[in-house]
Parts: sequence; structure tokens; C-alpha cells
Amino acid sequence: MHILLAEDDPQTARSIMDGLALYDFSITHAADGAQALAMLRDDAFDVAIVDRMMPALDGIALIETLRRENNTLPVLMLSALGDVDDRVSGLRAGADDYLAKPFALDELVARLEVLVRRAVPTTTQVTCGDLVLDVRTRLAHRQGQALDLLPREFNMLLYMAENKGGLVTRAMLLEKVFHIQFDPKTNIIDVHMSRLRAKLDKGFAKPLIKTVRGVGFIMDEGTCD
Amino acid sequence: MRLIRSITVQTTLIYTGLFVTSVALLFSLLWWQSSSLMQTELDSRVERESQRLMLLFENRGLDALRAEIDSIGRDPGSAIYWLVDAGGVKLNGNLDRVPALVSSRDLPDDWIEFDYLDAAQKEMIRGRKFVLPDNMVLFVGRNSAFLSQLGEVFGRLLLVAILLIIALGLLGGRWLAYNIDRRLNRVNRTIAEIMAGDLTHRIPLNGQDDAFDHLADHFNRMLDRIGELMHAMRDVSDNIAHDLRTPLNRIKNRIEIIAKRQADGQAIGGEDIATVMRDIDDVIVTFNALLSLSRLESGATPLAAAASDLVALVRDLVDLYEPLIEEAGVSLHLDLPDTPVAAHVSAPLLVQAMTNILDNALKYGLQPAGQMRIALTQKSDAYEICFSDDGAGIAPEEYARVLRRFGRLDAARASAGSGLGLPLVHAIATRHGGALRLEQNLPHGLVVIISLPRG
Repeated sequence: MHILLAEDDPQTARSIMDGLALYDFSITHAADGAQALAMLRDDAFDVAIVDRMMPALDGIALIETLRRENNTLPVLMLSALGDVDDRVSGLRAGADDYLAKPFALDELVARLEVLVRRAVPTTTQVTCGDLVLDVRTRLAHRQGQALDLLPREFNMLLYMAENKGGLVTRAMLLEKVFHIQFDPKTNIIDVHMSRLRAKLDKGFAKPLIKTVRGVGFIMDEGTCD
Repeated sequence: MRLIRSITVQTTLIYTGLFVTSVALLFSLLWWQSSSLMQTELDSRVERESQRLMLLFENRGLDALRAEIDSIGRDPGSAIYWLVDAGGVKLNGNLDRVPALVSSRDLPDDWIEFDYLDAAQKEMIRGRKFVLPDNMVLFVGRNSAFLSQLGEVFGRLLLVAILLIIALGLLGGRWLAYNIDRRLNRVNRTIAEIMAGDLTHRIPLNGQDDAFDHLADHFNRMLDRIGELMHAMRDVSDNIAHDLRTPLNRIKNRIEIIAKRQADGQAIGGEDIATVMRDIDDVIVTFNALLSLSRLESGATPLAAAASDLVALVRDLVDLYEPLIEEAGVSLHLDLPDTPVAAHVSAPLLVQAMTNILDNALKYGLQPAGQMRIALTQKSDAYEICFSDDGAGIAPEEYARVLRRFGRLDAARASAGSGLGLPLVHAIATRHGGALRLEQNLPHGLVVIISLPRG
């Protein structure tokens, strides 16, 4: 994965690059918005990480410029501004995701992987091993057996299945499934997940969703096979 | 002080200047009025006198005129007479000599003014001349020196008045400056003492209820307010220091243990590091909440408000919280309108506020087999979202405390939480132009109401 990191603070940039290097990503660093824009115009990247506040061209202006030029590159915005309103304005400017500093490295990686996978066209059916989700009728079957899910449970399962093989954090589920733009730091997602699992795995030998301790959940190829 | 001095100097100069100008104008007007009045009087006397003499000459001839001139001209301080024949030789009169113009036959019947140098002093004479038959010239005049003397008197008086005004003005200015200085010095001394750190000082009032007293009173009240704010601020900083020192201390201890285990060649468990991470997360959460609060309360950034359906927001939130509420063994009652309720709000902020209320209810308010009610009511001027529980509730005298930053109740101190939840809800409601209300739920429990203005 080839990532452009637009971040003006050298220490933050260094720590992000060191962290992402652990995941074998190839990273190019731009020290300001104008430099980032030039690089994005010249080279092909899989995803860009853009700091919100930068000299020369700030993150919002950079993304708006890209979108005006019909550049659909997935962009994750980083910001020291973590208020819910800031998230909304960042996303409205055209960012595909928004992460407030300070953040966990796992959270960043999980979101980058989702952004890169995003390119897969939405089909009417999403599967994972013996699990089949019909997006139109909103019905879930496992080994042909219908699962009795609440709408929110179906949405959670669909999000997990769409991102199978990738880590899904609690904050991501809150944002994408429940549209909560901040992390209330309670065990609320775990409660939802345990209820979903109870319905999903009851009577089946193999659990479909694994917990990654302290980070989130994964519905990986191993569980799907 | 230099500034104040210069202000009093300026005021003094401006007012003295204005007084001097108006007195000079007044004197000039007086002088002009009285001198013209006196000249008119003089002229009419000369006119009457000359008419009498002309009449005498016409009726009784030259000799009678000459005799009359001799007779009346001898009175001291009387009028001036001058009669010459056709050759310019003086026939009668009480002057020794006159300017040629008076004796000439040019400009007949005209008013003439001339200086006359007597043995003693310089006089000024004003009068009228007539050319008589046989080319004789008669001049009748009066001493008009008093007219110019009047001007001189007025000038001297004016000078004295101006000097007096300037002297009084400077004295008054000095007195004014002294008074202002004295009272401002008192204010400045107090300010200096306050700046030196003693906020208990107040400016003494002199009981005259004047502008200075008003200023001092306002200043004192401002100091009271600053004192209160500083006190609150100190409380908050103490609380921040305390609330952050505790988890930081835990983190430090845990890292020390990890380092010791590593030094002893023991394996480091993932659990140790996970605990440290959780504690760091707590610190970050507290900081984030503090920053959000500050930004909301400062109102620095505009509210990203948009038309949102309050019913949908509440339903989404209930969707998220239902399992937790069920797991707490609490039954939930929703009392929502069937139709959407559109309001101009920042949906993410409002959701955050409602989340904080629900978290609080789950943490402190609800007990097994309890009941929770969430209602949305439409008042004439406001929408109200009410969260009622039947838990232990909060005593009304504690309401103000739980709305303060870190103002946690003693019962809540033991459990996790930043003490910023309700203050944040309060700030969000206020930022929307609304309010946060706490009420008693009967027979026991708490009602938390977010009220948002309509329209």
C-alpha cells in the first residue's frame, strides 16, 4: 500500500511513519499542503493521510482542491480538533474518514485498510464463508438457515462482512453503524457484539467474529473459510 | 499621571481661552455701543448749537453772531467756535489755530474731526462747518477726546479682566488637577496593591455619589467578580491536577513494574501494557472533554447547526443504548411524537449530550427493576427532551454542583468518570440557546431536561 502523509509537524510525522512501517506500508511524506497537492497530482497513491491544519494549504482546502479536480483518492483527515462538529466539517469537505489526535496506531491502520478496500463495488450479496447477507432484502442466512436479526444487528454484521479480513474498531462501528461521531468510552459496542454473536453462532461450531483485545473485532478469512 | 496632567492642562487652557475671548467680545460690544451712543449725542448738540447760531446770523446779522460767539465761547469746557472771513482771517473763536481744512471753502457743510495740540495736552475736536454768505466760514465743534479716552479705559479694563481670568483659570486648573490626581492616585495605589497579588483591596468611596464614586463602585464590583472567577478557576485547576495526577501516577507505577520485570528477565504480559493504555485513554478522554467544554463555552467556533429530526435522533440513540438498558434490568418507556420534529441543531453535539445523560443514568441513576422514561415534548417556545429515572436522584441543593466542572458528588467519586459529563451537556444546551434543567422525579429519581428554543 502506497500512502501519502501530509503532516507539517516533523515529530508527529516521524511517529506515524515509524508506526506504519511496522505494517510494511510504503509512505511518502509531504511537509505542507501545497507540497502534498503537487505529489498527489504527480504520483499514484492508494490513500492519503492529511493533517487538518498545515501551512501553505490546509487540509480542508487540499481535499476540496482534489475533489474539484475529480481526484477520488481515499483521504483520511487527521486533526487536533476532535469535537464532533469538527468531524462533520472535515467529512463534509470531502474527507472519507476523520481521526482526531491523539489516536491509537491500530485505529489508524484499520481505517486505512477500510479506505483502500472501499473500491470494491457494492453487490447485492455479501458473503463470508457460510454466511450470506442479502443487501436488498436485508436477510441473513448461515448454512441456508435464516438468522433472526434486528436491523441494527444486520447493519453491524454487514459492515463486518464488507470489511472481512480487516480489523474493525469499536469507534468505526459507532461511526459507521450507529452514526455516533465520538467514542463514549463505554462497553456499549461489546454488548451489541455479544448479542449479535449469540444469534450468529448459536448452533454453529465455528464463531465468525473474533475479538482483538483492546482494539476491536475481525471477521477474517480464517473464520470465513 | 502625565496624561491626566496634560488633560487638566488642556481643559484649563481651553476654558481660559474661551473665557478670555468671550470677555473681549463683551467689552468690545460695550465699547462700541457706548461710544456710538456718545458720538450721536455729541453730534446732535453740535447740530442744535449751529442751527441756533445760523438762525441768529440770518435774523440779526454778523455782529450779533460775533458777539454771541465771544460771549458763549468764554465758558470753559464749552463748545468750540471758529469764524473766519473770506480772506481766511479769524474773526471770532476760542481756538488759537485750526487746520486749513476747517477754514477752507471746500467741502461745505461737512463733519470734520482733527487733533488739536493745546499747551497742556492733545485734544480731539469734532464738529461741523458751514460756509456763510460772503464766503465766511463758521465751525461749531466739541471736544471729542473723551471718545478715544473711553476706548482706552475699556482696553485697560479688558486687560485687567483677562489677566484676572488667566490667573483664576490657572489656579482652578491646578486645583482640578490636584483633585483628580489625588483621587486617581487612590485608585492607582489600589490597583498596584492588587497587581502585587492582594485581591482583597477595594477602592474607598468618599460618599459623595459623584462620577468618581461610581467609577470606584464599578471597579470594586468588577474586582468582586474577578475574585469569584479566580476562585472558581483555582477550584477547576485543583480538580484537573487531582483528576489527572491520579491516572498519571497509576501509569507511572505500572511502567515501573514493567521495567522491573524486564530487568529481572521476567516476561511482560500484554495485560500490563493494556492497563497502561486504558489509563492513558482516560487521561485523553478528560483532556478532550475539557477542550470541548472550553470551545463550547468560549463560543469561538460557529455552531454547525442544520435541520434535524429530533425524534430520529432520540430513536437512533435508543437503538444504541437499548441493550445496555435491558442488561441493567431496567424497563424503558419512550414518549415520542409520531411525526418528525424538525429543529435547527448540531445533531452530533446533541447526540453527545444525550449520550452523556444516558451514561450518567446507567452509571448512577438506574437500579435493577427500575424504570427509565425518555420523552420529547413540544412547548410553545421550546422543545424539551426529558430523561427520567427512578433511582436515588440528586438533592436539589446539589444541582449547581453537578453542573460544575469536576463537581462530582461524593457518592460518584469512587466510580470511573471525568466529572465533565453534565457540564458538557449544559454547555451544549446553552450553545444552542437552550438550557439544561434538573428536577426531582416523584417519589424519587432524577429528571434531566434539555430544552431547545423553537425556531
